[in-house]
Amino acid sequence: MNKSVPHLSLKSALSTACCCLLGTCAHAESKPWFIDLGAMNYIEQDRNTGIQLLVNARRELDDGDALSLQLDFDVITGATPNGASASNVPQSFTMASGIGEYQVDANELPADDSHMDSRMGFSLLYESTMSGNFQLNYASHISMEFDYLSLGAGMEFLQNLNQHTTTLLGGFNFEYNRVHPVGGIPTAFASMEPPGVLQPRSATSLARRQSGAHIGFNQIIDKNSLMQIKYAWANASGYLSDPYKILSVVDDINNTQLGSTLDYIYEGRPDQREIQNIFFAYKRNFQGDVIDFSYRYYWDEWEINSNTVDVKYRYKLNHQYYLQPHFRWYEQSAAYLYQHSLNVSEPTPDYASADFRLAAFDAYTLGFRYGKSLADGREHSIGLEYYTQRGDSHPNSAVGLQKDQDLFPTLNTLVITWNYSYNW
Amino acid sequence: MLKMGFNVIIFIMFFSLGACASVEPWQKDVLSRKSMQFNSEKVNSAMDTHFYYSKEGSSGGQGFSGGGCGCN
Repeated sequence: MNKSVPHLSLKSALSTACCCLLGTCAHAESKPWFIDLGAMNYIEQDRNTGIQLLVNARRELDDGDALSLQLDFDVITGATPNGASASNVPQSFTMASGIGEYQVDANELPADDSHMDSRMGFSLLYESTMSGNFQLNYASHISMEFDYLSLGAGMEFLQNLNQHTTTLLGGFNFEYNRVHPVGGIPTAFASMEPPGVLQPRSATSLARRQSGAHIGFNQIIDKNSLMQIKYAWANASGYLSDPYKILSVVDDINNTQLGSTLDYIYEGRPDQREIQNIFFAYKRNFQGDVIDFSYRYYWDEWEINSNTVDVKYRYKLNHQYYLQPHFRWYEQSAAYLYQHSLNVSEPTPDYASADFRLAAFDAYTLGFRYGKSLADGREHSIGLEYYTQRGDSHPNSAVGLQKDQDLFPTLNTLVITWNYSYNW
Repeated sequence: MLKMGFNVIIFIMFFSLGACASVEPWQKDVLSRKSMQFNSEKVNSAMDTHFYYSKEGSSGGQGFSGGGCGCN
């Protein structure tokens, strides 16, 4: 009499046995996705408030490959600086649509308090293991705002050497962006017209492209530490100006009103920007605590040089909880085109922008993250950070009445983050 | 400034590489922990990157893509 015997291949039998011995069998088969959720709320003093929501889902596939999907959404609302200088008299500005206007009180930072923007993005990463030592990653993203579209794709290779103690990596990426601002693309250095009058526009939308490449390596130093070094190069071209930013033109001729604003004109930036940076990261374990240090040196064709030092120390409170203080220091030099305002006696420059992000400043981040590791791989954490940005409030180039104004108001921001990850 | 940045990187690199020791596969238990991976806080790192991208004049270093936003 033949008995029915269930057919089991040697491979599946061994896999089942191994999984069950390790106690991970049911977990691995029933919860193949690793879900990482994040939220950030940042509140700038007297300026913008923003919220970011992000979901990342990663799944390891049977053949060793992995797929990651990421969805992010952010919204920002509040008052965003428009580039004009503060003045001793109230100021009026035409809104981007050219229809309405907004007022700013005397001695206040000119900012468009009707500013609101939202963005939704989706990205995909596929990690393909070609052999035990070689991996290819393919990435792509799409990001949409009502006045901006971004599409990008990239590829990266990782080659393990010396029994996986060294990993060489390199890659390239391309990005295509379409800028279609409210009211159209303003003509560089043309005057802002009063509301209801035809505004100076050069196009309804323009393209911005970026291509880049990077190369580097990861190195295991000893059984408790490792490091990473990367060099990256990128070239951005096309419309690189900010369509909503203007500059004040001030009087530097008439002694009775030196520094008073005579006109507002739209900014103009070069259509080319070559960017390079070197990045170094180091991690070390100290009996369960982990120090995470990184340094980046950046330089570009617009003469911005920056240094960024970032240090986190993950202090293990017990087997479940950790506390992670964070400190970041950032400083940058000014782009050659940065000017807080233009003087009426001087010829119009080829390029100029009063965007604070192109000015020289220092920035500090100080905060902490408190987290808890839960059962079956879940982790929950919250973070609280303070970010401040300080530049030259009273530059020597200020004229007359401008000397009484704060030409680089300090930016203070409170940042709250939340993170939850689990297997699904 | 540029020279200083290079010097800092090169100093750290040689200091670290000079300290490299042979690590066998069975000695990598600590290194395999999630907290010891580069970009172990992927979601927080992505949010931070976007935050700083919108506030500062330089960006990049960790990822291999641009900011993907107008960030006005």
